[in-house]
Amino acid sequence: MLLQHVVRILGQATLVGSLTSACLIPPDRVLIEERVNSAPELDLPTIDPPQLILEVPYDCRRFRVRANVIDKNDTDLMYRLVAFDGTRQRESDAGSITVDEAGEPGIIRGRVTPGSDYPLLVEKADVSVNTDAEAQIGVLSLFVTDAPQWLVPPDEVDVTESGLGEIVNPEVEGFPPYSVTEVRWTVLIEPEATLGNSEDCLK
Amino acid sequence: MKHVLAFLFVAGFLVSLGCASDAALDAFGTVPVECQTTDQCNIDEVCVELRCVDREMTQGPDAISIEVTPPSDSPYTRYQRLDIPIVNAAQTLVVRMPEPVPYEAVVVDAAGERVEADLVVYGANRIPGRELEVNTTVRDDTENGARFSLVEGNYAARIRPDDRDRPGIEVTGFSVRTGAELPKEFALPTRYRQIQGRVTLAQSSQEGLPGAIVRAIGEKSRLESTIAIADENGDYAIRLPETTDTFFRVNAMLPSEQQPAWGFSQSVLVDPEGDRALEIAIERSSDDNRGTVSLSIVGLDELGQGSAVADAKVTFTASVAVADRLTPPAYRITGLTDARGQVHVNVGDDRLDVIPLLRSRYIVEVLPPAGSSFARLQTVLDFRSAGQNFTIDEQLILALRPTVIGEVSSAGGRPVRARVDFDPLDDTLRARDAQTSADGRFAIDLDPGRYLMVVRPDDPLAGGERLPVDTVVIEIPDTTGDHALPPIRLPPGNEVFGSVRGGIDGEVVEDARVEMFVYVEGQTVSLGEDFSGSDGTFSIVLPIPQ
Repeated sequence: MLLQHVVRILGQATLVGSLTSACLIPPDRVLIEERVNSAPELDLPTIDPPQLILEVPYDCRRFRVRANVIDKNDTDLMYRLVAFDGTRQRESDAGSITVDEAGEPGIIRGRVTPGSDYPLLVEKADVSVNTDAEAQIGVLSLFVTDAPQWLVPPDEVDVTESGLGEIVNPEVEGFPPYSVTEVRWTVLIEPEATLGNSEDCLK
Repeated sequence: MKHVLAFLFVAGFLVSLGCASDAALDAFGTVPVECQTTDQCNIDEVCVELRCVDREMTQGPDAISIEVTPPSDSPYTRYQRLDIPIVNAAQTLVVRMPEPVPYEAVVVDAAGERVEADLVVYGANRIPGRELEVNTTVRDDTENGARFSLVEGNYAARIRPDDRDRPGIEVTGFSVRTGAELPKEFALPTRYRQIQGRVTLAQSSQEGLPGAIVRAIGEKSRLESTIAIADENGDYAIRLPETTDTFFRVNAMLPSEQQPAWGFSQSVLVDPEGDRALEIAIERSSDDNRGTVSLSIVGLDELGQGSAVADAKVTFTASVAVADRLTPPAYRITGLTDARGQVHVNVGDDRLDVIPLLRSRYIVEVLPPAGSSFARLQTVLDFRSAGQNFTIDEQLILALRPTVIGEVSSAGGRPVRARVDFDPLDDTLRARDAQTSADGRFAIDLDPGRYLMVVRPDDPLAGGERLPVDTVVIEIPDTTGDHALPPIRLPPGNEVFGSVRGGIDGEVVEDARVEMFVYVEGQTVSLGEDFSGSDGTFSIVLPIPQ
C-alpha cells in the first residue's frame, strides 16, 4: 500500500512536471495548474468517538460516529462505516458529502447499531442468554473516498462479505486517480449491561 | 472566514433595505417584501430574515437545547443549556462555558479499602439521551482516584465493582460544587438486598436442581446482582445492587454442557428495604423433548421468484408454557443465515447448521439485513408434536419490503440534496437512512411501521436559502410495492449565529463542537452542528419557530 502511494505521488509529480514548461523555476506571474489529486483528509480532533478502543455493552442500541473531512480538490466524497466481526464485513452506515468548494470541510455523520452490525459478537456477549458470555472483539472502519463508485455497490453490500472499503479505481495515465482514507477502531463488545443510555453507551 | 462573511451578509441586508434581492425572489418564488418586524408584513405572514413569508411555513420549535463540547486540550468540559428560545438572525447567541470543577473519585468497600470499579456519572437536567458525562474506570492501585472535570450541578452515578462478588451501587442526587472535599468517596454498603430460595424441577417442587446459574439485573439501573450456582439441594442466594430499583429481571439457566435446556426468566418485585424469597421452577429437560430444526429463509420477489436471504438474524423464543404453567419456560437462541439462507447458530465453540430446540411453540423473528429488499417476519412455529430427538426441516418465506418514495424541496421549491433518517418509533424496527439525488427524490425499502423521518440537508446554505432540519412522523403500511410519501417541503430557516466564550476570563473557545437538539416523539433530534472558529463563532441553520 505504501509503495503504491509512493508510486502514485511520483507519478503525480511526473505529471505536474510534464504539464509545465522545461523551466524548473517558472517566470513571474505564470500560474502552474496543480493537477495533483489529494486524498480526503480526516480532521483528527473532530473524530468522534476519539478513543481507539470502543468498549460497547452488549445491549447498546446504537452509537454515533462523527468526523470532519476535507478534500483539497474534490467537492463530492463518499463514506462507509464498515463493521468486521472476524469473519465478515457489514455496512453499518454510508453516505455522501457534497460541499460547494473543494477544501471546505464536510461532516460525516454515521450510526453504528451493534445488534445488527455485530450480531454474532453481541450474541456471544449477551449474559442474559449465554452462561459463557465474555467480551468479544471486532473492528469498525470509517472509509472516505473521492472516488465516484465503491467496488461493492450499495445494492450488493448485504451479499458481500469483504472488500467494502475498496473503490473502482482504474489507472489513468499510469496511476490510480482516486484514494481511500480509513480510520479504524477496535470494538470490544462487553458482557456488562449499559449503565448510561442505550444510545450513548460507549465507555 | 465563513462566519465573518455571513455576518457581513446579514449586515449587508440591514443596510440595503429597499433593494430587491434576486436570491430572495428565487428562494420564495414571490416578490419579497422586506421587513424588520412582523408588524410590517401582511396578517398571514411573519418577518423572517428581513423577508415576509407565509406564517404557515414556520413550523419550528420555540426552543432548542444546545450542547458545547470543547476540544480535549481545553480547560473546559462539555456543557448543555436547555430550552433556549430560538433567536433570530440579527441576534447572536453567546455561550459562556462555565468554569469547570476538577473532580476526583474513589470507590471504597465497607472496610474503607480502595476497590477497582467502573464509574458512570450522568447529569441531572440534561438533554434526553445525552446525560452521560463520565464513563471511566476507578483504579485501586494508584495514588489518586479517577480525575475528571464537571460543571457545577447535580449528578447521579452508577458504580460496578470489578469484583463481581460485589454488586454495584447507584448514587443519586449528589452535587458538584467548587471547594467540595476531594476525593469524593463512593462507599459500597455493608449489606445488600438479597433474593434467595430454591431452584426446583417444575414437575416436582421437592426436587432441587443443582448447578443452575441464577442472576438478576435491575430493570432501571441495569446493574447486575452477584451470580449464584444452586447447591446440591438447589438452594441459591444472590445479592442485589444497591439501587432504587424495585423490579429485577431474574434469570436462571442450566450450564452450557446441559444445553439445550429450559431456563427461567421473570421480572420480580423486591421491597426497597427488604429481601425477597423466590422459588424458581424450571421445566425438566431431557432427550425426550430435545431436537433440532433445520431452517432456511427465502425471499419472494414481485415475480414470485424465490432467492436465499443471507445474513438475516433469526431468533427463536419459546412462547407457550409447557403444561399451561403460569410462568413460561425460558429458552431463546439466535442464529444467522448463510449465503444459502440456511440458519446457523453458535453452541459453545461450534457453529451448527441445525438449531437445538426443546419441544414447544416458538415465536420466530427474522430480521433481514438493513439493506435487504425483504421485510422482517415474526411468526409462530409449533414444535410441540415432534418426537424424541426430532429433526424438522422448515422454510420461512419473506415478502418484499414496501419501497418508500419521497421528494424533498426547499421553501422556495428547489430540490434539496439531503440525508433522510428513518428513526423507528417501534422497538422491533431498525434505523435506516436514504440519500436524495440532485432532483430531491429518494427511494428506500423499509419494514412496515412508524418512523420519525428526519431530513438533514447536505448543505444548509445551498442555493442561497437557509435549509433547516425537518422532522415528520410517517406510517409505512404492511403492503408490498411502492408507497409514495407526500412531498416534503422544508420550512424556511434562520441561520443562527453565536460564539463560544470561556467562563474563566471570557477568552475565545476555538474548535468547540456546538450542536443543537429538539425532542420530538420521544426522540432527541440533532438540528445541526458546527465547530467554533478561531474567533469562537459558529452558525447553525434552525427552523423558524411557530
